[in-house]
Amino acid sequence: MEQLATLPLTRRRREIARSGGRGPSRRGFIRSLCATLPVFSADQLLAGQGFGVQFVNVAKEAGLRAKTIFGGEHKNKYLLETTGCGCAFFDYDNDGWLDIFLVNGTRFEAQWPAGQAPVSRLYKNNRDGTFTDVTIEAGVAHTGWGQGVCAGDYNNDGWEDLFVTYWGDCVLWHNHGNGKFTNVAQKAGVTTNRGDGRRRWNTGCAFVDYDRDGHLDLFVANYIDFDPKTAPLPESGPCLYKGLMVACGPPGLEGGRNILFHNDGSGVFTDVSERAGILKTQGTYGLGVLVGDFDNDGWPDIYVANDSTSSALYKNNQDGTFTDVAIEAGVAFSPDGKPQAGMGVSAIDYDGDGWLDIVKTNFAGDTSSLYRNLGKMTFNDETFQAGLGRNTRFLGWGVGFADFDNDGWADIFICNGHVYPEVSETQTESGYRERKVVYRNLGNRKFADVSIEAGPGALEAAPGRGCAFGDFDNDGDVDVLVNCVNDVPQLLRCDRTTRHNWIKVKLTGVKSNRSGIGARVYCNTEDGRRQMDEVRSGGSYISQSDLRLHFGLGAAESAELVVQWPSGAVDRVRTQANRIVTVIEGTSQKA
Amino acid sequence: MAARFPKGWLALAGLAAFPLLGQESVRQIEARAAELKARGDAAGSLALWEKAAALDPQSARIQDEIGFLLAVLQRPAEALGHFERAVALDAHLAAAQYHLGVAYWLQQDPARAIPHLQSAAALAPREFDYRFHFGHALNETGQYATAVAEFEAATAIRPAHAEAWNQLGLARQHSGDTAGALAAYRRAVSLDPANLDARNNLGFVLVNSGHAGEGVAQFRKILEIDPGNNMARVNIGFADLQKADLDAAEAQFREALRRDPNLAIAHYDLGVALKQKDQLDAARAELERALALDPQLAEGHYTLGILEWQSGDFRKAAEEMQAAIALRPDYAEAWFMMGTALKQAGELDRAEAALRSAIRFAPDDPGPYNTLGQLLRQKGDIAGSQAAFAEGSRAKRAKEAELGRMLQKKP
Repeated sequence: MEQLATLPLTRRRREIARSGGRGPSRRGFIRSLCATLPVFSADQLLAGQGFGVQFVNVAKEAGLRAKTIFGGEHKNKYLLETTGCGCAFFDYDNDGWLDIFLVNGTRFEAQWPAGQAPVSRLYKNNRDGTFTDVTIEAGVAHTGWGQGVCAGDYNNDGWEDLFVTYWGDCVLWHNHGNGKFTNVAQKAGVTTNRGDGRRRWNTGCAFVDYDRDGHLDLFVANYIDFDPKTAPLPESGPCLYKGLMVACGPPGLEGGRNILFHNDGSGVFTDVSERAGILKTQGTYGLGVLVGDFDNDGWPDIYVANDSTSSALYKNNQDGTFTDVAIEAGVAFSPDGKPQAGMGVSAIDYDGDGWLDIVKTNFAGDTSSLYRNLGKMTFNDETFQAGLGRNTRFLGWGVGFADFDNDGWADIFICNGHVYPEVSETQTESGYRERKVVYRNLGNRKFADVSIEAGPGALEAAPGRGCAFGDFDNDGDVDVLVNCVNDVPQLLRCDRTTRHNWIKVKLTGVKSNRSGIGARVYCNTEDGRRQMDEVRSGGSYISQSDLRLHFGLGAAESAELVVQWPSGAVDRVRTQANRIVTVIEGTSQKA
Repeated sequence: MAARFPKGWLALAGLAAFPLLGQESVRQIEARAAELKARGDAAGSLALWEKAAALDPQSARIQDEIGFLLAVLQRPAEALGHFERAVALDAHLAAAQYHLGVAYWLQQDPARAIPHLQSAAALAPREFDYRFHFGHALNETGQYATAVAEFEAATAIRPAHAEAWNQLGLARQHSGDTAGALAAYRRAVSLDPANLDARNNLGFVLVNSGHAGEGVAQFRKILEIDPGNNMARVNIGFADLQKADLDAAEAQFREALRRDPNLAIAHYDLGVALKQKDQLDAARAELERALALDPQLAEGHYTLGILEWQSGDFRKAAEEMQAAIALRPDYAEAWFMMGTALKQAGELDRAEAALRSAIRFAPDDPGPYNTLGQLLRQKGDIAGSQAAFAEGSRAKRAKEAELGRMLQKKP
């Protein structure tokens, strides 16, 4: 075994209270208790345990004060004004601390004073819980109808680059490694401009090395073929929601077409959507993009959350082509076969059976969807069995599986906010600003809604859209960044009272892409648990989460990490708990 | 004392005709019979008509008169026999057809009633009552599209008849003609502001067509006229529910229940509001109470089934859907959800049968095809699964195309 680089930590002690010494896990104790006290079910007792996590919104103190502008604040003419922006946790300066990128939008008919137009923002992490706005210095001030963001080192130079989608020309921010970025989208061939004067409505994106040649390719979802000159107005139809006249669509509007760009290794991309089979899909109105090896064949597949129609699951055929198998696989619809308004997506092996499962957020009046992977590209919708069926009044956007309490089981965090600002004029449903929903994984394929005990940051109502997950203060848990519509962002610091252990893994590819995107990591602990996750670009709602993988270890004090790289190489690393481990491809003991 | 004409027969009172017969003695008898009838002496009049019938047994009109008076005297079975005899003697006697139709209707036999009411309306198309009652029977049996023509004719004959406009509104509303329904209801309300049924219908259509404020104003007007009208209060709550103003809806339903704790529909609507607030246990209690008060409330079982489904109890969900279907065998959504729940409970054969029933009752809904496709795949029937998915796709495209056409309309 060869221990690779380990970053020193400056753990800030902000746990609210501490439990006693480590002994047998609470979960194990509860299970043994249930064996002798059949009056209570294990679910009841497990759910009754304190979550031990509080989210606190520290955005203002951290210096995230710029408002995200996106369409009309009280009324919207077009759907384009409703969908909001994504955000990113990524380490642009390689200092081991997550920086923040917040996509910004604009308004129709807005007359911005010189220098006042809204721009996407880059914030550098000061390593003390605060951030500095470096947008101008970094050269990333860009105005437009910004949508999603994804990160990846597309040219393998060791610095994470950013792709930002727009209604209109997209931007590829090439990271020079000196704190400066340059938009190279035109040169790289990824603007998505189709040359006929009409703009594409690009949304979610992800870097993915779909042919495993070591160079990151790029997938871009598209929502609607939107042109304000021809788009219907709320009065058409009329388009009503709960008696309110609102922006029309997407049903009834012409859907957009997703794009797959192939990276030739020299920094130039080619649109291969047609020959790769990306256009052969029933679903359209694409939003969230999620990449994962869902059939464990070693090749990345692509899931797209589509709005108001069947979702898409592009199975990688291992020959440069994909086939949409979402309907047959059981991840296209709700359990009753209805199309849902898919928004955000996340994946993890939440039940520890070795297969990546999917969670997807949907519209108000519906539940979120939990698709359990049964293997062989077959999923079962277990939303209701798992306990996610009781919340229907929220409209979900960003979502992430993450082990917030570090008990070894990935929980679910959902960021909400109504799509129509018009509902804020009434008492409709849960209003325009909505709180978060947090589900704790009970470790038995069930979840408990712990939102109420998840702290003031989770309960603060906000018009949330994109959200990203990452440990911005490197204290061993998972924080949440939320981009809101026509409001300031939220930075929800995760404060734990639990003493569970954890480990984070940063991967550096050598033969594989430098970001390690697509690599799968197994985390084995002495208690027999085997967790699994993959490094992925994109995800949640059109956002980018920490490229480092996080594993809660419960009481385990060490772990064995097994890294399966896209190149086929495998690395094994044994490490103590509570540290960030960097694994460089091919430098550990060979499997 | 002369028998009083019961309410159900008042509509018939003006319809008896008195053409003269050939024989002088029969005419004299008829004249005396008519006189007694006009004085309200049904029994005396009946005796004379029976005497006339003995003299002229082939007269359809006399049989019809006897039937009418027997009905007035609360002898419906005997009345029916005379109406049947009258129609057998002369199928073109509009009054007899009408009376026979009404008699069957009062026996709660719409299948036999409607053809006779239809004949009466065809034989005497300018007769308001024939058109009105035929239309009413059609509305009551859900044949709204056919009813529209009858009420359009009836309102043309008597343009000031508020209830005919109200019924026309109902027929148009259920035929999908919202604008036409609104116009008819507005006319009914303007002709008779005290017609609370028409006002209630107007309020409902307004609420459901995106004019919740105006709709609620109608319900509030009902409460002004009749402060004890609890249904108007429930309807205000329903309007709040449509707007997803759940707190306001809950308050209205609770006030209605405070005034009448046994109002089943208020318990049901409160259950729906609580369900939408994700208060599933409280919602379940209200829905169960609604069903205890009104066991015929199929929607109550359906919504309870959805609750159980949301809670992950698929077998209970299927049982509730089965109960809904027992009350309403063509309840497509209940068949669909029963199929879905049974599929999730692992009862694939029963689930397949339920989903196929759902498709039979609602062939344009993509959902049951997609669920059936997943089920067949689970059963290993790949070809069947693909065919079901293809049908689901076709249904979905048709719906989307319809929406697209709607949105392309310019305001």
